[in-house]
Amino acid sequence: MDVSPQQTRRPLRRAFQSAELVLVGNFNPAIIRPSWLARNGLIPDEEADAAEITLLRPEYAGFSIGWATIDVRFDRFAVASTDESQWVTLRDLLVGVFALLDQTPVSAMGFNLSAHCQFAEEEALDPLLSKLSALPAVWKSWIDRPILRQQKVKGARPKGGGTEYTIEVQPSVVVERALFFKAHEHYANESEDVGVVLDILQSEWDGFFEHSIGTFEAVAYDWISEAE
Amino acid sequence: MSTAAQRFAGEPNPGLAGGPSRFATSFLRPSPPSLEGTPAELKPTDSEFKVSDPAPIKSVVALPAPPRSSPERFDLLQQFVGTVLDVGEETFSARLQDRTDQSRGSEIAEFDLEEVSDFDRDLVQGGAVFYWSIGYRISPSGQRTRVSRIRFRRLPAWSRSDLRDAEQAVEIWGYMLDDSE
Amino acid sequence: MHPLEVSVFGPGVGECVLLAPRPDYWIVVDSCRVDGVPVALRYIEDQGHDPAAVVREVICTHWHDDHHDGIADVLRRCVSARFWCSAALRSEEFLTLAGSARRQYDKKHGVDEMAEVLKIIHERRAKGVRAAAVGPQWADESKRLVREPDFSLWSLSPSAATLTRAHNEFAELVPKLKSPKRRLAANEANDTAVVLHLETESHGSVLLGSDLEIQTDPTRGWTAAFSSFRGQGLRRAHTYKVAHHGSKNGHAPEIWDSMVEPTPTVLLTPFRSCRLPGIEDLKRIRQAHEGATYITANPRGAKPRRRSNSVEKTMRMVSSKRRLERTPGGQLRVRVRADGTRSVEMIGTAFEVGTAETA
Repeated sequence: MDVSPQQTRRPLRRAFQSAELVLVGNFNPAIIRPSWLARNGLIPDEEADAAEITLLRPEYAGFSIGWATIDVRFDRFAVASTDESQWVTLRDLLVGVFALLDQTPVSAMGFNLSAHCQFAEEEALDPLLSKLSALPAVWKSWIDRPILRQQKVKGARPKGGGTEYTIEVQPSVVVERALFFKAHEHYANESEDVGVVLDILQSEWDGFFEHSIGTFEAVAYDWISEAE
Repeated sequence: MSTAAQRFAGEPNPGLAGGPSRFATSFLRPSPPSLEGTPAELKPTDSEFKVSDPAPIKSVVALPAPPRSSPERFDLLQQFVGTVLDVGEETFSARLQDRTDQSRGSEIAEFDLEEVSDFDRDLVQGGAVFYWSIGYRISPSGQRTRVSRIRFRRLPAWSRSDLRDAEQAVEIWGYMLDDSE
Repeated sequence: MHPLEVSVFGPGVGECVLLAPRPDYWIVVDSCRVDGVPVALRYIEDQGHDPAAVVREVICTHWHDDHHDGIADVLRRCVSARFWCSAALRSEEFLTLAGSARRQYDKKHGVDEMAEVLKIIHERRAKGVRAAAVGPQWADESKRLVREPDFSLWSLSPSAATLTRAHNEFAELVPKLKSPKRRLAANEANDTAVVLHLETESHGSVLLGSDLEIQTDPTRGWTAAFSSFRGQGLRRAHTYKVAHHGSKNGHAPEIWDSMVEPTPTVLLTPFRSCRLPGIEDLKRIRQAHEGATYITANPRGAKPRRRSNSVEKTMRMVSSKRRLERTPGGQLRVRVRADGTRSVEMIGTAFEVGTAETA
């Protein structure tokens, strides 16, 4: 029976998701401390007091405030969270920090999202993987039983503003019956004006997630229907 | 192990972002700033065919992998962004916009002030913005608990440069105040 | 002779009134959107007209965002229109407030729409269009906004006493160093609202109450507006758009005793965020006159569409009195013929308020 993916589609369960916002530029890790965030009203005092510090040095600041991790080096500023309910707060945190440090030169920004998308029990993923994209014959001459294990597709997000949008997919080695997806969007900032990236962040962050999760699901179901 | 085998067999464990990696590359030879993934993730193509001079040592301190976040998970079912309309003695009313399904129209609702964390109570004022998230918290052992969270947005206050920018409006538009028919 | 048309739109939050004293002369009073589009533009186009050609005045009676959602888009489209707003906004403090829109974190925070309007006017003025043709023009008490051979449009408020207070109030709203950035809550300063009176040669008069409220000070609010009305010798209106969504504070005795006819056509728009009009409000309004009362949509609002069981259960535990703020809403279209007869069409969710609604 020929049934379209939409008709047979069960929701994918996303596990172990992580969102990360990365800026590249010139930063001063010595400033970024839980107490500094609290003093400037960006996080509650209670979160600052309960922060787990990895290392605080003039050249590096790394700590966790429960729902987010902050990692700051001279040339890289990253905030990440595995709690989907806080991804919007992650954006606010970065906007807040750089509204205060508004003279910081920032040359690029990256959005990252990764997730393991698990299929419902009835879906048989393993047999499907062997039927994926035909490989050129040359591979079979040099590798026995070759299988394509990872796809990485680069382009531009429709209606997005980034210079590059990349999606990677491969079988998950952490979650059973799952595919591991990673999405990345790159924004170059020639002016190095942090205000420009903050405007982009506020207008594109939600769209990046919505589109990336939609792509994960579409690709995942496409792999099944192709195999069927 | 051959280069080809390294390429795929050596895939980093794509578990929780920020988790410790077997492939910390920052010791002694800091990698160039990466926008993709955490800096500790091995990028197989980086070392594949490149013959590079050793980069200058920037630090004698081994920079650690980024810190882990909480091992608990949160499966988000629904999220709203709310704007406080009115605050009473024990309740506040708010306009809610659905972030999960943006095709839905805005709603009005009333909340008990008790639903707001102590550290956010002072933020409950007319015009204040908050996020209301509903989902399941899953402990490392798999225990599921249904959760509702209200968190108020915290953003910096008005700065000098903000105010200078606002005052420029008078310089640009001020002539309109002098017009008369 | 073409009938006079008065159309009132109210989707639950926000309102828009269209006056068409002539087919080639439309006046847009305030703005709201349905499905993202300003209702004024959609309606005028649906009637087969080009808004760029027929809309001659765009009036923002009140700076609160429920009165001007989409008004910048309306003005941008209506290239022949002149823009009016309350003279209470004629201050450096308000310009600073509008200028602060760019530095806010949210796109919709209260004055962003007005900031867009000022940009559009600035662009047109830079191309040489005169102030008298594009605006902004400032409406206050006893001012004739439009003088045509067959009709005049008057503003009856804000009063001079209100203007002074308003400038001080805006000064308080202007951002201060280190104060938190918040959305402006639309609760105060209703006495800066512009009440409009359309007086026609052959089709009677129409009164639009905006959000003006009663004040204890007789030099402000409805008492001052009534003085303005009487001072100009204006005629009582046969059609009245009720002030402040039917609230008790918008219910001035002078309106019913002296400013509208004994059997008027009374038009209401709901404001669900404040639960207006309530049942007592509707009772009071119906008892104040002998005509018929209409409303564009149910003030209580519909229940939102159900979400999943888990989400619904949790929402019920944590919140109460949840209602849709905005529904597509309805339209009340009044057509007045030269012989004085009036017809009212109730379109969409609009209905006549009867005893069932006030029980």
